[in-house]
Amino acid sequence: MPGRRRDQRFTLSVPWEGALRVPADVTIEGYGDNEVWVVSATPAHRDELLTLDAIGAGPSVTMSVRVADSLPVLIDGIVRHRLRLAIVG
Amino acid sequence: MNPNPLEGPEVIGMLARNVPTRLVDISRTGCLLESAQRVEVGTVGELRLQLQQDTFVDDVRITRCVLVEGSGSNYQVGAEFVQTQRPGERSIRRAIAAILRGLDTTVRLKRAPAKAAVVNSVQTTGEEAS
Repeated sequence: MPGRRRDQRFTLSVPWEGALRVPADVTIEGYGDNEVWVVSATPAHRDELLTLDAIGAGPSVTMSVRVADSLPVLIDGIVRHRLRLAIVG
Repeated sequence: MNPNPLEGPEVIGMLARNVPTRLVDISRTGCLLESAQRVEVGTVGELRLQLQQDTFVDDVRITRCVLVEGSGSNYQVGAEFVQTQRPGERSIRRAIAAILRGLDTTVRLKRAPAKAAVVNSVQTTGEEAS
């Protein structure tokens, strides 16, 4: 079958559980009290738990965040999504 | 409440979501996962798999995502390993190679049935080596 994986596949005797970490670049607009505003190319579900790495001039900061709001906005003629993220850890 | 706007150079960030998955089958160049969430084809991400006390990691590109009929929201997700660097010590590819060579005897692999190999097949670019 063309375009299909050609290698022999194997199943495992014990299940492998895990997670797929899907990153996306965002622009950080500002901070509030325990909140961060970012602009993203994609929307997010309210209450979704995510990880945010803030990368500035200093060392990057990693924080756990919960999506509080996700609103479409028009920036330079392109639809983006402004996310309000509550810092949870 | 409005944000306090940042001054100076633009601050960028990386927002990451974790999609829980379970490995269904695996080959040298890719794997089939099950997930309760849909993942866009073309997405590149980091796959972390837990086996007993060990965690294995590799970068993957999603090549296929199909809702399993009659399962509610259970998706079969095809992924190919992104081979841009040598597999590290905790690489999934390296772990599978070790199991296949019999170096790791805590896990056994068995060949996926031919039917599953067709049903669970994964679209690729066709550029991978056999």
